[in-house]
Amino acid sequence: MPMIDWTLFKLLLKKDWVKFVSFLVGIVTMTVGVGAYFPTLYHTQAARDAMAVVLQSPAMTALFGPSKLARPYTTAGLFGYEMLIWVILVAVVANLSISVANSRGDEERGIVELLLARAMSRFQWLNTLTAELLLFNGILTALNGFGLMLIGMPGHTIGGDWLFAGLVGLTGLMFGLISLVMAQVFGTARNTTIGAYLFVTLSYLVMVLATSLQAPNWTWAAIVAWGTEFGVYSTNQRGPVALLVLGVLGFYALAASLLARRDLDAGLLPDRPGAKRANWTLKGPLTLLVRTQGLTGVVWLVMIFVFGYAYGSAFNLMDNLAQTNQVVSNVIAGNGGHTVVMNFLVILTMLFGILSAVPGIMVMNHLFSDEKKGYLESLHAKPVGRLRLFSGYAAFGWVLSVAVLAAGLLGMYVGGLVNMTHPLALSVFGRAFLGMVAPMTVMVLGQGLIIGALPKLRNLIWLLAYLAFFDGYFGHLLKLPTWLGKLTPYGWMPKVPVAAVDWTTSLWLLSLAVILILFGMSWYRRRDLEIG
Amino acid sequence: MANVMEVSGLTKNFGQFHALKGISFEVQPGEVFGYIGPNGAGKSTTIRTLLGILKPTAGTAQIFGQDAWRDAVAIHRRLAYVPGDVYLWPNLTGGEMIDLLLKLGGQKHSAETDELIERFELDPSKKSRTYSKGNRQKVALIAAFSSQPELLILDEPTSGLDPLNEATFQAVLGEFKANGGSTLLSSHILSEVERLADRIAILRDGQIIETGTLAEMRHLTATTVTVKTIQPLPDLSKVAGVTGLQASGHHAAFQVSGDALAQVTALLAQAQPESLTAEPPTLEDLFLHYYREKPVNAHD
Ligand SMILES: Nc1ncnc2c1ncn2[C@@H]1O[C@H](COP(=O)(O)OP(=O)(O)OP(=O)(O)O)[C@@H](O)[C@H]1O
Ligand SMILES: [Mg+2]
Repeated sequence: MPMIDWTLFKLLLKKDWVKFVSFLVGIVTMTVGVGAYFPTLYHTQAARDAMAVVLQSPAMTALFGPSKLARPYTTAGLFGYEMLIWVILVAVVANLSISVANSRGDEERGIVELLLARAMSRFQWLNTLTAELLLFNGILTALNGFGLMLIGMPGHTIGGDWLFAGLVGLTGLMFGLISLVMAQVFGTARNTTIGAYLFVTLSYLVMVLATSLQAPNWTWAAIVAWGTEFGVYSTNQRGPVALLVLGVLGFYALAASLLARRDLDAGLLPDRPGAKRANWTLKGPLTLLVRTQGLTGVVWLVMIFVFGYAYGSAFNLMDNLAQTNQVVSNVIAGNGGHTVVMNFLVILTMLFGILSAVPGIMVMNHLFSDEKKGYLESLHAKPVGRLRLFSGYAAFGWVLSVAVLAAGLLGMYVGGLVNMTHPLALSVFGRAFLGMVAPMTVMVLGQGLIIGALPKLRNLIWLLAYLAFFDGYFGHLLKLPTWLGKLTPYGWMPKVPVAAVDWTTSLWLLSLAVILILFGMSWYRRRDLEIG
Repeated sequence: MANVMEVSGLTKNFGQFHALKGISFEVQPGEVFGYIGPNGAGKSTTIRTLLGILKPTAGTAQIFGQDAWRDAVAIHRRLAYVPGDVYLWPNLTGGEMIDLLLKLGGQKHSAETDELIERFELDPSKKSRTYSKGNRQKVALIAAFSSQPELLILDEPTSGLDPLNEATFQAVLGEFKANGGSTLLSSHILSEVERLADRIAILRDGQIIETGTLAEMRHLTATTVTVKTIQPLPDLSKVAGVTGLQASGHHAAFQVSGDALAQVTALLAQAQPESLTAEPPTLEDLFLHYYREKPVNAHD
């Protein structure tokens, strides 16, 4: 029997090619596009040296992973350090998405049962999925490798180009396999996704904590950041690549052995019998959402709080550094005369503002996927108006997003409170919160319009979020044009919490959000529901 | 009394595809209206339009005298629905799902609910995703019956039930009917429709090709006759309305249409039948009759 079922392989590619192309384009433009731009940023050795000092400050290493920068600092070296973890994270998201949909997702839809009833063994199935991941990451590595060679940043080596590309591909592949492991453990696609993202986030958090608490040995526990240990373009250690290969093989073997011992359509964790009767908390669309989406919500809240705490605890180190190093404070602080921490806070606030929109957007997307999966069909035959259903999802999503934003900022506040000699005032975070609520609301309620009117376009919002993130993070660093940021609602807000909240902007953003959701509602009331 | 449901000229297009092409029928109070047709005929599409899940392209559908699309919420207070494929939230138990559906309709879990759970032998403490298709259907059936609606809309409600549970379903539906409830029953299981339905509509390619009581429809199709006579058989092949004749000496087997029946029995009587069986057409025969012999222009 062949190791791989080529018929299924072709079928998967046919189904996934749009996803393939969009992720590949996204990741490669991120790598090669930024790479092409980088040389214009740091012309002089002095500028590069200053940037290197900044990047090696604890606050930055908390974000980017441990620094292996080596003198003399080159453009390629700075690029390798600044960009690697972000490109890896996006590649990981791509791999999770492909992997979960094809494993637990297809199993839930009953497709795997059909496949295995034919002459296909479990291992052929697993191998075919693995082969698809291999292909994806192979293409990704090739495109990134050749792309980086082509732009040839000052100070690059061909070995460094391929090391960068290879680390992204290998880490992506490894996380694709990790989600295959999760798909064996958890019984539903939803829980598999939660499990996989939890793993990624935890792993990133370990890195943040290890660097901000200065415990470098612990960074090895942060699987997602393994790539950052290689000093791409600086020291270019290639030996530890073996570690990643070993990781890939290990997770494959784990997935295979778990698959061998479990039942189809079930996870490894057995199902416990539940309640015979619904208790009083389950009585309408909103409470139903609390039941079905509540766990995901709690996971978000806890993770974002810890995340915030980790960054908050890095503030102190940053403060000290800025006081002792003039170069650092110049570069990070720019010309406004603000403190280093405050400027760092601007970036973090933006990051949290964008992140917090994600759970709300996902709840809105659930309105469509629950409809597609037929869960809502029996609800629609009840005296529950579409308005009530739609408002239930929108309200739940929005409140969750607001809570996630608050939890993240609160985590930061508490992190600072515990670790800083002169902690930042709560009002600073209040300002950050008020500044971010409006653009975040536009994102969440805007997605309501998409779900109500044109659910087929529901994935475009991620492009917008990606753009906002990219602009927020690299806009200043890469000196991107300001109109780019204005394409997203986040680009219209002044830089809170350093700047004051602009109430006029907030007001029109909120009005826009309300208009969007009203249009969404009226479309949702008028369109056919799609089932199956 | 006014009709419970009134559908007239109902048309539904999905883009270029014409799923329903001007459907008209009505459901009278207290009756079980059978809605049958092959796969893809448009049964589920009709039902989803009746429930306001789909918006009609043209024509009207009224339930309790109200518009199915515009007044959906008001109508839904008085009806219950069991979909053909029941999908339940994977992490709710069957019991929770039943209660939720009841509460959404403003009702409560009652003694009758418990009784139905018992009669259908459902374990309500299991998570929905571990239920088989039949068990998911039971969840929807129990929720539907115990909400005591005036109208039941059932889309192939027994396609996943085993014979015992199907018998339970038929008994429960019988009681519902005895209490004056009306039902729209779409089904593939013809014996079930035959037993339960007062009137039937046959749907094909988005068009209703026949409506009426089973007795009326039988009139339109042939009775199967086998006969053995003492005297030699008369020549039946000349009689208009006799088909599929297989005759040899004193034996004959053939089909005879309703309007030729009188003439044929008179002829046979002269030959002194020794044994005679006449089988009325089953719904199955009707079904096949309509699907094979009266092809409508499926696609234009
Ligand atoms: N949303 C949709 N978009 C396009 N075509 C659709 C849609 N929903 C249904 N159809 C088509 O309409 C036709 C009628 O479908 P419907 O589900 O009503 O059939 P049915 O009579 O219930 O069949 P079955 O016995 O298999 O349940 C089918 O050809 C189907 O493919
Ligand atoms: Mg159907």
